[in-house]
Amino acid sequence: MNTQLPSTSWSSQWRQGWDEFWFTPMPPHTLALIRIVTGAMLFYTHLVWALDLQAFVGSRSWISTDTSQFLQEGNSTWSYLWYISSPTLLWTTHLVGMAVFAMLSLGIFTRVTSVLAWLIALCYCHRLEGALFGLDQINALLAMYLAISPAGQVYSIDSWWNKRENSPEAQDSLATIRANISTRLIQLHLCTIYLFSGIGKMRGNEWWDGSASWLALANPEYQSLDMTWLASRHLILSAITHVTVLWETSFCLLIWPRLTRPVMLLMAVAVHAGIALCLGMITFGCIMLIANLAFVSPQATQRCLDRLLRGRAGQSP
Amino acid sequence: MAPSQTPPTTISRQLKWLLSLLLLFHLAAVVIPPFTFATRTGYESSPLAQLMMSVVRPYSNALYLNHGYFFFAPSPGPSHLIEYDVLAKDGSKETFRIPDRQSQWPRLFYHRHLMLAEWIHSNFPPETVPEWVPLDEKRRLHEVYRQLITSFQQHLQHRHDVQDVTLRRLEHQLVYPEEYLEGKHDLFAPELYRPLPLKPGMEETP
Repeated sequence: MNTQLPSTSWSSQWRQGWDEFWFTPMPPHTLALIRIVTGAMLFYTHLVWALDLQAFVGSRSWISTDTSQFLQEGNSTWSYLWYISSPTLLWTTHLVGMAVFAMLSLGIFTRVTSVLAWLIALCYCHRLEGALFGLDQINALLAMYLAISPAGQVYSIDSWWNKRENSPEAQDSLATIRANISTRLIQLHLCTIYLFSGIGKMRGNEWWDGSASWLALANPEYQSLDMTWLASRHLILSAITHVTVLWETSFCLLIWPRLTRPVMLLMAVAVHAGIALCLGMITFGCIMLIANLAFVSPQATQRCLDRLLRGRAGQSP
Repeated sequence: MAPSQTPPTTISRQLKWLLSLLLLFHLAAVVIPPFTFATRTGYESSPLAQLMMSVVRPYSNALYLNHGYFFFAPSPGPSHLIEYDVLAKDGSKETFRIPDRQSQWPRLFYHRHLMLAEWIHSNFPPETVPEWVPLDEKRRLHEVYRQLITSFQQHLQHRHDVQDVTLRRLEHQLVYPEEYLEGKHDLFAPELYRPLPLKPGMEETP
């Protein structure tokens, strides 16, 4: 009897690992949750632009249309906002954009609205260089990965409608390769962000000597919670500084093992909650936590949300 | 909701190869820009980074992926503001500052103005540029800054319906822990605002 095990070459193992990582079907529940909150964040971001729309995207805005196009010359970028000078048309397109973001969040015609939401978000980013920060970078990347995902399959008006109409889509299996690819892309993108954020900090003396956290917390333009009582607590300040760098640079390695993932995610909550509460960047803190949801399994998301929905249904008279 | 069944993979080998190549290119476009930014120590990034960036730049730019992700890095330095005087038709002068926490709410709205002020600062042409940098590039640095300042001025003139607005750049210096413990508790003390030049000292020559 031949008891020899089939040989698995090194390249075959790589191929198998690559296939498992990218091409294993995955349910869309976590992506659906990301869709709901990202759509809401995009809506809010553009609601705030609307508080002074002409000043941001009008022809004579802080960074005028001409200046914006000059800055983007040769950059392979494009924005329909460069070609709108009429305030009425600007408002109309802006409100249409906000409606698209709301539809994305609610999961209405998701296959179309997810792509539109991404394209609209991109056009605003290309137009508004100078007024943007980390929030917009994460908004744009989440919108991009949602556009290629089946995030409207569950927890959406679309899925409710499909079930009601007993349409063929309602019978499709929920686990898809598209959901897996989208999730992996968010995960790897986040790893890249944290790694280079940590590397960037390592180039500054203040992140080595422990004083960086004070300089951030005591910056009046950012300060939203007075943490200056920490001035005499050098150990705490240096601990916050060093842990921040250590967490960021090790995220791309320690987020993957099952044992260390919960620790890294808890630290993400601590870091981003700290940024939101103490540095006034509530939206940035929130969107980073939304992106970190990509590391929560769809099964765990489904259990939590189903329990929540069942609980609310049980409480209603 | 019942747990869903996981169907067997039906994707063809050829499609897997195609998707894999697209994924690799996309990931390169995600990783190379921050790598290029990280290799920049003086005026330029490393030659290898520049070469790789030249391949992915159009794609990275188009998809808004061209970022360094240097959040509060390399150092969380002082903030920069724009202050401006508006001379009204009746001769009275009013001074405004951006960002302004009192008038700009919610927080995200305020933060947008903070970013605009920082953007002006980050585009102020450097005092010294290596001699080997082409003249066209030196000129572009000045032209970018000039266009930004002009755009700001024209916007403010339009906003306040005046002919003239005088801009100033300010740096809001930070208070260190030792200074704070010695009694320097007012983070908004006037002496902490340092004026910066509005016009670059190194004027470009045609």
